[in-house]
Amino acid sequence: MAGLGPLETAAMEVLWRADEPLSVRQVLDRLNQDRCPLLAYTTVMTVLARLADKGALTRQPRGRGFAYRPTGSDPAALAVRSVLTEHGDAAIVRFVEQVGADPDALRRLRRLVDNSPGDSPETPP
Amino acid sequence: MIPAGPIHRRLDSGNRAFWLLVVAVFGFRGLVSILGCCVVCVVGLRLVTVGPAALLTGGGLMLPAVMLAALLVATTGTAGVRLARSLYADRTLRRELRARTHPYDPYDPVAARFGLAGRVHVVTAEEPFAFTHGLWTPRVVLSTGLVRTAPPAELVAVLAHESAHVRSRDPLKVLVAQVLLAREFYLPALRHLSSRFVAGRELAADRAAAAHCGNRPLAGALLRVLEPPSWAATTPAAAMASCSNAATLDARITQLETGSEPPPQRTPRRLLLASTLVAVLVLAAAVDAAILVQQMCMRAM
Repeated sequence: MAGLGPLETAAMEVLWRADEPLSVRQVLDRLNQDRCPLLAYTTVMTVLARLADKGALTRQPRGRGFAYRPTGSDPAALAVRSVLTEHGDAAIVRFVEQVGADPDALRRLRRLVDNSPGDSPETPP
Repeated sequence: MIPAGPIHRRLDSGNRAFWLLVVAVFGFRGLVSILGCCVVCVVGLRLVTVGPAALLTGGGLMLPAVMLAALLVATTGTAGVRLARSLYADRTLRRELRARTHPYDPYDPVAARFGLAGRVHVVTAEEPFAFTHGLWTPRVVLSTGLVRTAPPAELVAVLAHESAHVRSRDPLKVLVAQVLLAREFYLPALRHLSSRFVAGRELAADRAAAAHCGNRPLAGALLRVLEPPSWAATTPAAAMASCSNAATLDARITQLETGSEPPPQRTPRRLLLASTLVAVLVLAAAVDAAILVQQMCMRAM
């Protein structure tokens, strides 16, 4: 994977397998399940913070610390995302900016999909 | 379906804004540059022959000329840096994508219908997205996530939308706008003109797509790309949106709902006023400097 070390990759894999955001403690416990010698809490904390800086994770406050979740759903998506983030200066025209739809916009689009008359969405090309 | 309406020979609002930006910048810049080149030479010569103190003598006579010369040198510098950065980013992106994409064979006949034969590539990524890149030969990139989940009609809508960007060479225009803005950073109204260009192009591309396949597939494709996937459902996406993106999306949805292009956002009077003031000041400095140069030439003769 582009630009990730072995421990970072292992942490990402733990978070990709999880269904919900995980705290540092939860990631630590899952990493340490099959590991000898055990990793220290601060090591994992540093790794997760670095991944958040790279844009691979986002964090939200939970209790006294943070809960982390991946920004992409798999390694390939992460690689592509990092390419696009890193070279955001390039002249790119996106179909639509991915982040930034408020619930109202989504509701209006859903209404358009449901109510548009005439054209079938399943027309073969 | 968006009604065809009478055929207008006018440019769409996006391209109108783009060419207005180009004309405004080159018109203004041309006027300043004719005077500016001599001024830079004279100020440089004075600096070399007499030293920095000479610029402040004569009751600040040289001050407008010095400021104009500094502005011209600084803005040429920022534009150069911006151009170099954009070209580098574009080249790296192309190289990286070449290593990660493969041609989109099953849809090549569809792509050919939009003049995109051999120009549509697929990149491995679960997130659904699509974009156009490439300055001289624009290419369309679709993610495997989009290709896998979107029904054929939605993919046709996306290809029709992107083909409008390819035909208009929008990536190249985006780069030109970036560089012009970097150069004329002290004229805030131009930034607004540039975002009107981006929004107008999106609206035109949407109209092209809706004319081909109707509103529903286009709305469906927009929804598919925008709807946060399950693993991201906990993040408030709206908080991450930039204002201009949200406004553009709003205009695109309104266009689909009403069937006609919503009126473009007017340039705020505050920006217009500030930009005019700065432009007048720069022009005044240029004229003042030109007179000074002329006087110095007369004296030398």
